[in-house]
Amino acid sequence: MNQFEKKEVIQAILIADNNVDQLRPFSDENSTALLPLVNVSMLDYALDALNRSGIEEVFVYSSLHLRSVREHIKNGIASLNSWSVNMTVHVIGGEGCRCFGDAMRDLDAKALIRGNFILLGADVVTNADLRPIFEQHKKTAKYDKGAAATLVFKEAATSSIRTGNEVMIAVDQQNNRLHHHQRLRLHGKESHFEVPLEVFLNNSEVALLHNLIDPQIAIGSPSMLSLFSDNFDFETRDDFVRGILINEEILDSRIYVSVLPRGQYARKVNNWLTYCMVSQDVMNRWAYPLVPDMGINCLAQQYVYLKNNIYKSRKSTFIKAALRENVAVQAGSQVEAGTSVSCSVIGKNCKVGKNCVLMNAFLMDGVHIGDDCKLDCCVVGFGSKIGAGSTIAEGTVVGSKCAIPAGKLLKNVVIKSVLGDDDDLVEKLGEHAFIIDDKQETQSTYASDSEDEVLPTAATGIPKVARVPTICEESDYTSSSDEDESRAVSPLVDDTNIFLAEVMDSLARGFQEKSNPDFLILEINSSRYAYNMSLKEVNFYVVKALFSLQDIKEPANQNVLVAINNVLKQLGPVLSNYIKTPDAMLQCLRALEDIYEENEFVRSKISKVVHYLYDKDFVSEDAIIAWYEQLDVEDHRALRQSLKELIEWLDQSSEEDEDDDEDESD
Amino acid sequence: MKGQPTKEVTQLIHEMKVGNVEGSYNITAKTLKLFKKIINGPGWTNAEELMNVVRTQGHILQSAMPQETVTASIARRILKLIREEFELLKAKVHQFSEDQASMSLHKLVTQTSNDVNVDYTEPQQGLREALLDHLQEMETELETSSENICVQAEEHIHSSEVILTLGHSRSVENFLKRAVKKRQFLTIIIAECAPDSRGHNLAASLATGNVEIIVIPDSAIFAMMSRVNKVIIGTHSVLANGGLRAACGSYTVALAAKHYSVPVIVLSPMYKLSPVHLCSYEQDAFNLVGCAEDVLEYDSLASHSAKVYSPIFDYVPPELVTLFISNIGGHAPSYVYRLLTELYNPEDYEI
Repeated sequence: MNQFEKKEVIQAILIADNNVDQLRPFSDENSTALLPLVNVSMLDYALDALNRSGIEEVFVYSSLHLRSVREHIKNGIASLNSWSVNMTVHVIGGEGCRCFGDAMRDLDAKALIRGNFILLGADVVTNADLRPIFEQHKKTAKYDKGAAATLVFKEAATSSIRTGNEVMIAVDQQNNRLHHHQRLRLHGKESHFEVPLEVFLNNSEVALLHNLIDPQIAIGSPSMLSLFSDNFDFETRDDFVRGILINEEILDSRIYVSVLPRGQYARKVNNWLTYCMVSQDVMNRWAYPLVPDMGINCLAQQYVYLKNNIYKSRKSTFIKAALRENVAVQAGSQVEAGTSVSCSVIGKNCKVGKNCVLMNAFLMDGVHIGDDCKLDCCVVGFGSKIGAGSTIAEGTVVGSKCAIPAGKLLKNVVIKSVLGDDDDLVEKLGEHAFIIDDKQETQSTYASDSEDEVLPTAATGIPKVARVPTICEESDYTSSSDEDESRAVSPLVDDTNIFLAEVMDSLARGFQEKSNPDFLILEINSSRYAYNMSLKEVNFYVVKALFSLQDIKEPANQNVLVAINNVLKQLGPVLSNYIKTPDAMLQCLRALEDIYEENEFVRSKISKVVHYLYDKDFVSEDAIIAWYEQLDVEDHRALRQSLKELIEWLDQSSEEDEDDDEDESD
Repeated sequence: MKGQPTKEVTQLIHEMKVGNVEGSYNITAKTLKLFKKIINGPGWTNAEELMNVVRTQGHILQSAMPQETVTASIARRILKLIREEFELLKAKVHQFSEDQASMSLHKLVTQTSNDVNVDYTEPQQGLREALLDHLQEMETELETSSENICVQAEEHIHSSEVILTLGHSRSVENFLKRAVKKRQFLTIIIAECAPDSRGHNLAASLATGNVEIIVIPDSAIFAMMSRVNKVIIGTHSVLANGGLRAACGSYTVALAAKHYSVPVIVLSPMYKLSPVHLCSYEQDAFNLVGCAEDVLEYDSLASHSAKVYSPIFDYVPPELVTLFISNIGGHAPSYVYRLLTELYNPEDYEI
């Protein structure tokens, strides 16, 4: 008995039923923790991860769907799931527990946790070894009695799409203490971050990390639970973090940070976009050994692993169907001739008809798909039937047991088989298919809750299933022209084009961020030396780039003059820096000639544009007249025509000017 | 062949999966212990039943961890033991029966084929004890196998030779340690074996002796090969044709060695011999594909569009192997088939 007490049992808490609103309609039917991800329920991923970390006791906390979670755990133990070895799993739940904070308070009241514990959501997929982090936390807690928690983060590519799990943190490099925590916006990139000055004043070495994903894994001290009890306004974990950071002194608690080392993967599935991304990551073997072919929760191997990350069960049948890449097909499924499948998951006992195209489609168990269907970026729930010739695309989510009639075209909708009490019906498709409103408001309030600034509601929304891997990255490659990689990728582009692209980038950014024109000039000049441009070319391309800005290309209200005025108000100094000599002015007008060909708004208003430039003293009348005379009579008849009046007017005014000059000289 | 795994089998599979038990030697030792318990247990009354139990559990182990062939190999060896013991005991009973005594040489040779229909359900006295004796022998063999291989080090490694090895194999480590003790002026070149770079561990472990050690990246294997006298590598298992399923990079080493006509010596204790043939390079039959992040960082731009392939094993065809050194001596790859028939009964190849 003595020996038994000496050995410390590491405890873990799994919170099921988190973020319910974002995984509709499945969250209405069952616990989201039981949602299958590459044919294994997410709860099993989390339990397996804990088991691999050597955790011996787990409390699964569930409130909404307690019974089904309990059932699942019972079945798992009965069928010898791999997590059932060496680990005891308790399912506990509380009625009327509405949020993460309530769950923590309930756990505190139940007093089940004896020491430090690991806390994560049931929807986390990770292969991380949490033991070293746990030990580290214990060590920290020894020195700092107020250490409330250690948060675990994972580095990820900065350019990847925002899923709502990205955070920016300020952390003390010496003791890994968290000083600032900010969840990044879901849509669009921040132009600036606000970090309190004290963070830098009080600490000698602070690192700002902005490329982190928050998988919602934490190591908690016993004080973490009591902190939740003491502060009843803590609803989410973010509330907790923010509350501690603001009232560090009063609460006498501190939070520490640990970033997962290379080779350890962790991500949270809290909306359909992350569902899609994590599925692809699992199939791409980032979460190894939690990959389908290693038998995630059962003893025997279920899949045969083939080239291009194709996992197929030996008990599935394919009749001349093409499996392209990242495909997992469970036992008993059948795919008919002429169908092509890529980046998709097909559950147990599914039937896919002839000549279908499945891309980024996630089919759960028992789905039947008719012939000639097209499924792109969608999720189809248990036992649903999709009629022949349908197209389902752009983040559509079809709930369980739906029956969608043949030949439908569905984009970006949520479909349920039975209409619930609080669902807003949008359209009835059939006896067992209702398009419902997917309640985007809940998301926006959630976002503004977790963030101090209120986000524009129009832009928010639950991220949908989207084509994650290739397409987004490609666009990233081409746009990030200041990176070496893109240059290496496209060696054929000549220097002038790259120079033009860079200048355009600089100007667009400068215009958007209203940065100092002097800096822009510096930037353009450095680009100029990088690509060895002559001054003449620089003048030409700067003007061209300026007029190729998005605002001028597609002016608001089609009014190009207002747009040009706006742009030049900001970037005028840049233009006047380059366009000084008569020669440069000529180049400027030549560039305008190009723009005239490309931009129809400018074409219709060319004389006014030239007049405007003359008015603002960017070009002189001599230059305009010289340019006009150089214009080819045949090729530029239209241009000459539209400039004619202006030139005549200029001629007159210049004569007057000369008169004036003569007068003055007299 | 369906059946429930015993508690010990589940435990073993779990520990292998989690990585608490790794290395062929440890897995073999654990598996042996497990089967010993089964034989010791009350779950069988006659040879037939016991064979069924062993087959079932062996199959479960095999299907859970197909890449760890040693588990199934141990099951096969035990099956062969049961057959032999059963027949031996039976022969003792019928020692003086007529057909046995008057058996001609021809009959003796052809007899095995007729023996297919031996009735193993007959209860035999003393089978359990005999089997346990044999298992004890097997355990001793297992424990001494590494030592027995090491003893041969002096025969193969001479003073002032340049030896190349790859990664970190325990047999190779002990073998080289012995050689370092006995011979002077050795140079050992170790290819690091990315992405695990376990070659570094081997270098650290050998560095204590009076020996020059050079760690090279895998890309330098070919360049260094011209100076090498012998290649000594370990292997994960030996296939039925004498080919190797060895750490990724072994094929590079073997090909480079072939180009410079350097002998390739493979250290492989007998338990690593498996009666399986290579039928495809895909994972289902042969390989294991590892973690993507070993090769490419998750926060790199390419990580979402790239398909990362990081195989754990290489297949080395038998013609590239010069010699196998096992605990019972040296063998040519062409002799492996003969060793297999000694170890396993052909009927048990399919488990």
